[in-house]
Amino acid sequence: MAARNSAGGAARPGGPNRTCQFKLVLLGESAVGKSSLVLRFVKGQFHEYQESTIGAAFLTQTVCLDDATIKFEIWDTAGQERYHSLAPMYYRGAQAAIVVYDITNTESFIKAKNWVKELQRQASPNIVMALAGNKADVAQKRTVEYEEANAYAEDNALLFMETSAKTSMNVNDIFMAIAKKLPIGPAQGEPTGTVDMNQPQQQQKGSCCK
Amino acid sequence: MVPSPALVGTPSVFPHHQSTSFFQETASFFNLDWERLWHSRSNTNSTSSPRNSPSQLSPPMAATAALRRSSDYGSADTECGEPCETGDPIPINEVDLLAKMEQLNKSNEEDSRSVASKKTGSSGSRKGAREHTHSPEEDEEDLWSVWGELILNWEVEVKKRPNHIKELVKKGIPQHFRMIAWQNLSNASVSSVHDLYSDYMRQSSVYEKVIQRDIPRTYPELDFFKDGERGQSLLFNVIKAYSVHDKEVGYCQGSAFIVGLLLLQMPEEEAFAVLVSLMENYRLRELYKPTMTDLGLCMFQLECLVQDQMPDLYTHFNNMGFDTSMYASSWFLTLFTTTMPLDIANRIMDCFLVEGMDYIFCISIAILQQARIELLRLDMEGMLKYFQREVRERYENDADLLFAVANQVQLNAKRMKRLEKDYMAKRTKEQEEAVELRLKPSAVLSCFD
Repeated sequence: MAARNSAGGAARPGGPNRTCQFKLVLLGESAVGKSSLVLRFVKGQFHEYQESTIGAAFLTQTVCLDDATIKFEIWDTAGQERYHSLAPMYYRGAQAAIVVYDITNTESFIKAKNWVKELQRQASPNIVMALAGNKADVAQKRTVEYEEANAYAEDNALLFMETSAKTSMNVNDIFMAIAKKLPIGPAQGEPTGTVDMNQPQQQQKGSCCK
Repeated sequence: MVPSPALVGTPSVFPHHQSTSFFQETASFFNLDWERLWHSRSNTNSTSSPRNSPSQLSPPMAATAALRRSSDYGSADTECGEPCETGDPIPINEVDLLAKMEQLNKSNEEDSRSVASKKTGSSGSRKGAREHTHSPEEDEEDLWSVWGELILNWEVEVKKRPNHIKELVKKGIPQHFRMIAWQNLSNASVSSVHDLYSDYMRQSSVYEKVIQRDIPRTYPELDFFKDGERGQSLLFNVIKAYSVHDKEVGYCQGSAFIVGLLLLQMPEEEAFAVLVSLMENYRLRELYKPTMTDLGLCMFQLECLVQDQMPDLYTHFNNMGFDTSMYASSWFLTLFTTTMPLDIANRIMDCFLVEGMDYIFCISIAILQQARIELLRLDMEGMLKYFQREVRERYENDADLLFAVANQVQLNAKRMKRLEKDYMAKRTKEQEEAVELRLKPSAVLSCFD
């Protein structure tokens, strides 16, 4: 509504006080720390035992980047495999995704790669994707090497950081890195990259990057 | 198991189709405790109470206190797991609630009071004198008496007056009868799965690792389920046992909250038996199956009910791209345990046990009806905030309103059945289209052109 892609907009590219709204989805295996990353980013909090997410949860956070205000609309999804069928509803029309794995859990890294593949196939082609190797605070229990994940991220043109929702290491950074890659200042003659989240999804189909 | 003759050939009174359960057949420690407590209740004077001195201790209070002493399961009386001290077992808000319910259910009340009057004893003899002036404490006592009689005569009552039981349950089962009432209502007390439990405990499950990850993430705010507390191991045992019992469903996230709710009322083997009944006779296992088709069906049915009953809200949701599952999937998957405070979740479980999944629709519709005007003014973010946080705060101190509205919601069984057929047809069509799309990759790409 008022907040979306308002002041400035396409009429004044690069102008001050532009507010852009982006849909971001978190995907990844159960208990890798998706909700914890969101909670750390949005509220600066961490709970050792974060309640399991059933269905999906929604939070927003606004950040400032240069002269623009970026509002993230964050969909935090449930991780268990059988909830997989619900995921497309959340990544459909998303401009950004963070695929999360747990650096102490190799299976979760394999699962993360599957999510990346699925997003490459099914999500908006211009989606900004980041890979987060969470639980970096327990690096002594690591089973997924940094180099391996980094190489995979490079091969797939993903942003990559190891994060810790517990210590807050790289949490803001990964969201900010995504923000920087989002099409905030529409280039001349090019439509804005933001999507009006208040418009029906039907209208977004096939036109998530206008 | 032989079905109860009273229920054979008639539409089932409760959502399950098993035989009725009998108090006498409940696990022995319930019997012993209960019989002893009930019959010696007026002699109990060893527990002090802030509200009742030992000499004045009313029978329900005394028995309750003793029940609590003898129990070794979690306390669900208080939010956030503060263990309830033995002296004052009936929370004030429960008493208030009953007072409000009294008003809301005048007609039903007459019915239940007639039962109360059948018994001899203090509360019956006082009935005439306070026909028009009941204090909440007295109403609590009456309800206690009614439930006491009911539990003692369960076998007879469930055949004779199933609708009366249903009405009583929908007013809310007094907290201290829930352990037995939930087992009886679900028929878990006579279920043969009790015998399997210890065997399942010894077996390992492929889901163990996954279950273990969710244990500390289930009611993490409740003391009973905190690290090192018994709740965690009980939770694990019951969930793992179920995953061994039902290999097709195994473990589905969401079920842990329901198991937790049960464990706050009863020991593990009993909780397991109730869980099996909930899964098999109350549509839960359909919801939790790996394909989760039934969740999709519930979402579709709810969406259509909203369209039928609140067309403006339906249009608003559509305009906002607000899918039903975005707000309602956890309502069905956890039976509101992750949405509502525990006392409300308990009352929803009471009603769920007599009404089945229909009641989850009723509560859902009630929430939407109550919030309709507000939701119409909100955008997607506002609505999500409402459903994630405000809905809980709204009913925290006004649970009776929610139940009063929910009990008024009428679901048309024929319409629900029709919707089920429509959904299945829609799903089949979608699957066929998906296959077609896979065969023609150009069709997928064209949507991004």
